Amino acid sequence: MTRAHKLLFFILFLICVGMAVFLIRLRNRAQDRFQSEALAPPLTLAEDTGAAPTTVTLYMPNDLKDSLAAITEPIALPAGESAQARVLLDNLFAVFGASGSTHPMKVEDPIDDVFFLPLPPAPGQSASPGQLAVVNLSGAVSAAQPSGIEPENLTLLAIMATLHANIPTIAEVRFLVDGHTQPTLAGHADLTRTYLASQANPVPTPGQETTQP
Amino acid sequence: MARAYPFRALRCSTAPHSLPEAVVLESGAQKTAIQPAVPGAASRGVAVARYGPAVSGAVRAVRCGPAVLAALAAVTALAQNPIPQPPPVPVPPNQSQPPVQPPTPRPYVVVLDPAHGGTNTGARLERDLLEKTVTLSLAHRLAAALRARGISVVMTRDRDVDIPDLQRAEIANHARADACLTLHATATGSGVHLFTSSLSPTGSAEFLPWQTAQSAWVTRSLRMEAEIDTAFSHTSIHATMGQAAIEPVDHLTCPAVAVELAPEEAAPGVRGYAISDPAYQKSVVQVLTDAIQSWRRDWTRP
Repeated sequence: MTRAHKLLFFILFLICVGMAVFLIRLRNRAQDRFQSEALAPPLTLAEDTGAAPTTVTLYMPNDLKDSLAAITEPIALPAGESAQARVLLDNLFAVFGASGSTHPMKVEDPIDDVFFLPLPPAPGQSASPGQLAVVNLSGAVSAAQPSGIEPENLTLLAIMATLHANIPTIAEVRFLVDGHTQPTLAGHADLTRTYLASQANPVPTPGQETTQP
Repeated sequence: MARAYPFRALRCSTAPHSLPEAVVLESGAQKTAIQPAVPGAASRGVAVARYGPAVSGAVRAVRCGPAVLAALAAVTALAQNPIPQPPPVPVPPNQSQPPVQPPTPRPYVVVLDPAHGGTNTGARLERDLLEKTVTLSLAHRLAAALRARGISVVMTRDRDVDIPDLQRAEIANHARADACLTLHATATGSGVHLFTSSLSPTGSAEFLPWQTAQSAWVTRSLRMEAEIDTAFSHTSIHATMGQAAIEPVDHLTCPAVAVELAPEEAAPGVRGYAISDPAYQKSVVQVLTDAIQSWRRDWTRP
């Protein structure tokens, strides 16, 4: 092997090492960015979003009366319907867990994600009937949910009514638990079907109590 | 009125390793051969179906393979066009005729579905009280009360076993029930919660999609729910009505209501009850029995 060959080999080796280091750094940077976005805390407070609080309607179940009551709260909603839905539901579950709740249920981080999918237009129509909201509940919701047709049904109705009242484009709702389809919420309410959001929200008037549909 | 048919047994005669030669209907010395409806159909064994004089009896012990199709076709043909019988012997005018038996009315059938069972325990109601136990106990009490009033009762389970929801629906639909009650219990809420399917009502059809079979019955289910609610309104037990998506109600082809028992919350002028209170359960059973009786009187199966 001549001196020129050795020099060429050494230069190529250095280039290979440099490229490897560069690629590893790029990969680490991309991974850091991905993790920081994925683990971002929910934007629930006005300070987080910088947005002014707006009045939203939450539907609070009453277990004794088997009804939903509309309550209004000032909440700063972030931009984007997905983030807004998550903030709305985080606040709804916070009301569930408050002292003196009529639907007692304490859950931390109840919502993993809310996804939106456009619904296809009906045959012969061009306009989409709205969106399908896929609510990915955390497993903690299933664990904390009191078992029974009435309490489980009220939880689902409250979620759907709250979403539909504040994001009217939501026409249908599906539920997942930890990213998977689960047969029931806690042994009774069917989670395998797609619900019509409008069915859960008969009279969306704040302060007025409505029996469930 | 039940019609008499001359043939008592149905047999497919075969030779070993050969095609069935014929399906034979026989009655004593009289035999009628019917060629197989399925040419070339393989057949194994002899056997077959016995049916009663009314032909409407179920076909049992069928082991003739596809040749049985011919046999069944023959039975159906017989049911529609019975083989002519010899003309009746005229009765002398002075001889009294035996009284004509009126047709036996179809029994009124109620299906009780005690929810959960086996490893599927349902809700924990009190420290040592599980939902599956309460629903079964309630179903037994209700069944006894309904039978005492001459109502036939079919239970989807009568002991502590886990029956899949689809099988529960099969049992109920097979019974051609006039009313179906699914029994649940919860520690949340107050009184008795009544639920019907949340499916949108549709017209009845000959064939119904399994997943939404109840949609053709929702209107009648709502009427029955109202009947039960009215019965509770005459008592101190608080009842609420609602709609929910719950198994197996959506698959049922009968007026179906889910009855969920909750503790009765004490209120001014209202006594509170625990779910395990026998007096409470007895009152609920009494009200449900009265409601089913009213439903039977007011609405009959079309």
